[in-house]
Amino acid sequence: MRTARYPTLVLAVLAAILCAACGDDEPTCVQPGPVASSPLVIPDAAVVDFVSWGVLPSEEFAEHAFPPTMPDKAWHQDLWTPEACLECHATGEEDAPIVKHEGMPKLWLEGACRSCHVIRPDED
Amino acid sequence: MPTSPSPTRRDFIRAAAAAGVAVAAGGPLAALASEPTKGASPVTWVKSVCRFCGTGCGVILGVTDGRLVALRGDPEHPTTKGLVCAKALFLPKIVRSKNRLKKPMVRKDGRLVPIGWDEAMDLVADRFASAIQEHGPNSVAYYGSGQAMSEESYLANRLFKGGIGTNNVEGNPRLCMASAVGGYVSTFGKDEPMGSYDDIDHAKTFFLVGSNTAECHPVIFSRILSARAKGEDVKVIVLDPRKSPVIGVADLHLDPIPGYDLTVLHAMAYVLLKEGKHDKAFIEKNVQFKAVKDGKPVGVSFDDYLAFLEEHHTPEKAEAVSGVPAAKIREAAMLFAQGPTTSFWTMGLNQRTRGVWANNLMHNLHLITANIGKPGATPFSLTGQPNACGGVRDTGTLCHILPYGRVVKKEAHRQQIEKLWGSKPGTIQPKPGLDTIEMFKALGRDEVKAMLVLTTNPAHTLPNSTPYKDAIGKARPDKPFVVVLDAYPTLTTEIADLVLPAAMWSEKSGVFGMSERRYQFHPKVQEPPGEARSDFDVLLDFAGRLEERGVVPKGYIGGKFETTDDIWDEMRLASKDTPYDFMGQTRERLHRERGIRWPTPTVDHPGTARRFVKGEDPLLDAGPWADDTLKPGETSFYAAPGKKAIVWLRPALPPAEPTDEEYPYVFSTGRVLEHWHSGTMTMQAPELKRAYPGCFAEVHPTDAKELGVKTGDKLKITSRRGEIVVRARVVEIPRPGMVFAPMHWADELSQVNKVTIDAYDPGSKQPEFKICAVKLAKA
Repeated sequence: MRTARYPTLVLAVLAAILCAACGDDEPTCVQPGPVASSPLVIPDAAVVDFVSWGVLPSEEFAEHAFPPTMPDKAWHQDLWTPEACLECHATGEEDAPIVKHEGMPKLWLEGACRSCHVIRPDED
Repeated sequence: MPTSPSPTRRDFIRAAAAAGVAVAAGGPLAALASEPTKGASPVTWVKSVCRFCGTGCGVILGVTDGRLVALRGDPEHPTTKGLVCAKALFLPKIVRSKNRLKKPMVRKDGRLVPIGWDEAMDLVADRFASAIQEHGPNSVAYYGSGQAMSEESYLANRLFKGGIGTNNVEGNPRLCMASAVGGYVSTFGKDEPMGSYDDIDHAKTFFLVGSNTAECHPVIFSRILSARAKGEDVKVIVLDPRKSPVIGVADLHLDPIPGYDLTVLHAMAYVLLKEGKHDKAFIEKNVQFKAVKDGKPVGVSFDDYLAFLEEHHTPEKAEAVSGVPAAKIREAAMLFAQGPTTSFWTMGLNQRTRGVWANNLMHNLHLITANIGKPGATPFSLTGQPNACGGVRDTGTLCHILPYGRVVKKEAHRQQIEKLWGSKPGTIQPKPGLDTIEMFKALGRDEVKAMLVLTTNPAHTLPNSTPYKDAIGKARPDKPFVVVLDAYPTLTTEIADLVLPAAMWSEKSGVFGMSERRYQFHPKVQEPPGEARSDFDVLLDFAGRLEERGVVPKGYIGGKFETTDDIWDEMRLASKDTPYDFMGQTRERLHRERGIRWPTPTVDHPGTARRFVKGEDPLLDAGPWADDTLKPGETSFYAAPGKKAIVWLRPALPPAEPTDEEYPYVFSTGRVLEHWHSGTMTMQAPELKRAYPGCFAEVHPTDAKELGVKTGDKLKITSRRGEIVVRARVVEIPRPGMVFAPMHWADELSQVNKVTIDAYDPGSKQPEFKICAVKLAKA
């Protein structure tokens, strides 16, 4: 569990604003223009305690920030119900990785897997 | 092992790649991040709401060192319960794309070149002021978006209608939701659904109409899947000419010829009445019947309604017109009657020249069976944008309406708003302004001299887009001035006269109002890149400069508001004593709570799951619609004339452009799960872009055989307005005689709206994107 509060975040943002180096690659470095946007004020009430399910700090995007993509197999094309996906991903058939989603709400295993896991076409 | 009868996506993508369709580089991010970096700052989690569709998923933003680094579904969100889709999960990459617009750019000698903000804003103000001074207030226009924050749309509406004095105020919800608005207003008296997502947990029958819920509203689809998982007595009926992925959970699929489904809905009503499945007591108390005669609505009786259905819309007659077997219509009606039934529909009904009528017919089914106002029973039009409801529909940011259910035609409504805004009496015009299509036509005729386009991409998304692209960008003497505020390069920024870089949703704070009347606050968690500014800041700046130039009264907006927080209290006041009343939604509550559904008249009211129901809707307990004669659970459609909702006897007219010998196929457009609208955001995430690297067209195998087309072949789709050339995907998804293509790609050969028709519903002014006649040829 990771928690933080507003003052910590403000300091972090100020540090980011003061960052001198700014390339054109992601992530875009922050350099407010001559007319600044509205001030960064995150209400305390909007900061929440959250079990992050494996999301860990990193210098770029957080580790495990993005859902794994699916290899472009024929049987992945038209699967829209969890039962169909779990035929393999609950049993390991066809060397399919066993779905864990540890700590995540049960509802997530009742939904459409395709909602989060997009197909990754072969790069060959 | 599950198998797929369709050609594989790999086949299709390989063909597309071979043809030179760009495939984004980049691997799955899981490979990017292996071990957490030592010393990396912790992740702070901040409650927010998703940037994409109108489902309004609660999300939690992971923020490190002032950067958005992750996004998760919010498991404590009361209605989306932690579910999100891939588009949301990739938002951190989308927001931090290197392609973001970072500097103002002005067109000089045909090219966009950098310009400073101050000079740019002076240019905008000068062009608008000179147009207003020389040609009057109706020579300028605003075209906004269901993606702007509520405060931004409200401010733009306030500036143009109450400051400048023009009703030329429109937004892209005209393209997606206007028919739903027309349906709710003409049936119930006021806009917006009466039910909520809570009904998903109680419904025993789902009726999905013209809605690819699985791809366009995946979280709603997951909720339906979850409801089905709880019991086999949950049934799903699908009415759609495509076998979209929702077919995977359908117990019954009705596939009408595109454009001929109104008679199917009437025929279902006929079966319900003939089989005695209607609720006589509910009808007697809560429903009236109307038809249009000589152009005017007239009251008719229940017997007239039954006679109308018997004469025109028995299942057999409907089969002859729609192609849907009568037996299936009967079966659908009986499943509907089992209930409680929740109906969801989207663009398949709304994007039609008979969109309002189609919406009316959906409401008819719910009203005659009393499948309304009870847990699990509701007619619900799903929304495609995050803030079409709260931001545009509710704030009245369309050419004919004013905030919170008011209309420009009513003097009392204009006076109420002029008083609230501090406008000079008579500033708000009584005549509606130009609707979207007419506004861009007027731009093309150079009658609109200056237009502000905010957070939307009309060059891509308007139907029959070629003449409208010319209207926006074609060089000509005294060309109208078009300024576009956006976060990403788009087809519209490419041809605009001035482009202003906008902050994205996580870079500004404000409110989104989603499909179930829930208003949700999203905080600013990072600074915008480069010189980008929030739309709200730019609108304030713009208003101040117009005040300096004397075309808006001094102090009308200038000095009154600095942040979106400041304007929120005025918006709450505007809602007071209307059916939208959200006086109880203070900023502090919105910061703390996971959104609140209006009506919320007091700060201690928890929000309303079901409107018009005694014991749930607070407006039946106090205020102008209070009714102590009702028992808990009883319904009162207090916004409708005589407090009775209207069952309409609508004719089932055909689409604007039926097929013929020259153009024998029906063309329809839509979306895929991985992309959103014109793709300007989702194409920034390599994983999403790569999942669907190029446009394609679904063709039924029967048609493909006749055309000699295989999956991967180039297919030319030609209408009376234009043509595209995309890769064919031969699948049994569309009906024979129908071809379908998604709308997301911007390359010249893939712009589907070059083909679509700009005929629109005479009531809602919403165009018929879903149906036009085309011819097909192997290219």
